[in-house]
Amino acid sequence: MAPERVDRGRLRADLRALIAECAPDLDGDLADHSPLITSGVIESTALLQMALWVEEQIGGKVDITAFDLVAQWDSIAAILDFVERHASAAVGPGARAR
Amino acid sequence: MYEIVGYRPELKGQIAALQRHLWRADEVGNLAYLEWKYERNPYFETPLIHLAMHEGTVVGMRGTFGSRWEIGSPPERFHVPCADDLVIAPAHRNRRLFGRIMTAVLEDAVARGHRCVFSLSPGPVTLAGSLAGGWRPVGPVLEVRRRGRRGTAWRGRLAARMESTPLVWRWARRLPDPPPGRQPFRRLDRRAARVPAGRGVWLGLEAQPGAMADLIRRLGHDGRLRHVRDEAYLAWRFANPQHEYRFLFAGRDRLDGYLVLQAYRFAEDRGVNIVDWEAETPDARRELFRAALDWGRFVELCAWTAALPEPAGGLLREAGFTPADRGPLMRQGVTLLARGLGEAGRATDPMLGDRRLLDASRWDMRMLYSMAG
Repeated sequence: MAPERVDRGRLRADLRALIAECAPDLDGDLADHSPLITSGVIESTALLQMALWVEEQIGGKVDITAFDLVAQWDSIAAILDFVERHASAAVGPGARAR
Repeated sequence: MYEIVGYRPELKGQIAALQRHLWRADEVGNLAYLEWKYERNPYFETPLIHLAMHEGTVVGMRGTFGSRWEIGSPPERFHVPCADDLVIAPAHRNRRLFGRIMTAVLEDAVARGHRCVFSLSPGPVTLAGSLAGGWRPVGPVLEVRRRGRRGTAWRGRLAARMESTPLVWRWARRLPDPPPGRQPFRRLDRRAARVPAGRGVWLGLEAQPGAMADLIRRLGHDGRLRHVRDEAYLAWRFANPQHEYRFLFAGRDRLDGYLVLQAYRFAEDRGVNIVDWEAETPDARRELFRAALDWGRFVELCAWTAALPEPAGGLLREAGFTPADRGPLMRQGVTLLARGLGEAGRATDPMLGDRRLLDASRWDMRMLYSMAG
């Protein structure tokens, strides 16, 4: 089930932990707006894990082919925005980013 | 720390060893597959394989096989690299190797004069990484699946006996299902006619590339994008050493239709696929399909339906095929990807000639064209 209200602080902490796990050679702390995809910090395997994490947070399925992944998931802030936009919506396989 | 290099035959052994992380098959089998797919490819004389090296050892690879497509009426033909086998050794994952290898692949493709690349059966990891790298989705293949009767006759008899036995009855329904890929063609091979039978359908253990290509020629082309299926292609394609094929043919004096079934030699958890299916008449199409179901009684039978003509789609639905959810990011089967190649591999709108490719309805996509089949 989708959470009724998104706790952005908790999500941020979770997401940072996931990124740290996926990018072990990452130096220092990532700012919320630091580029993740365009900088190459996260790629293939990490992106898949991120997609699964997003699905878990919004309580529905996400079709990553239906929106511009690079534009919408390129930073921690952007991903959190994405989760907030979709958390209360029923998100099916054909979900489009808004 | 890492170096990206092109393919060299002396690295074949290392590549085959690395590929155990991809297919879990034996190295001899991997080597045979590599030689078939890349060294004997009918379109690319030099294999397009890129390797990540770490201290002299191959720790990552992306293989890109050659293909030849036609589109339009009259058709224009194009060679297109198809990015495929991707594997990075577990100890070297999440080290940004995917992007570095892909950059080398795309630059090499541009240097060879290509303006477009395809990815025809990306798994979830490759799909995510590719989308991040400028690849564009054409659409899902809309895979469907039909689960057949699970048990053989002896399993049914055993279950019946267990059900009537005190204390044992509770386990009668717990008899493990056979893996869908264990001897998948056993029943088909026993039951199918080997010469044109009553309804004119029979089973071949070998392809008939000449007759099949002749049928495809006679059927014509509606102008959608499709792989060129000539005799040379079909002869090469069905020699895939990782797959096992069966061919149902229709017709007596000449070929009126065929249906190709495929199974994975090294994956008992995967069922049988319909990888190509052509017929001159609706009757021949239906008879081929009925023969596959009746003679084969496969534990699992799958097909891609995105490009199937409606009569074939109707046959599948009537036979109980339902959408196959392959898990995260593959809920309608694999998603076809294309990427245009600008200068230095920069992403552009994928096109062949003056035709844009990001419209699934313009593709006549068969599982055969990808290495899934």
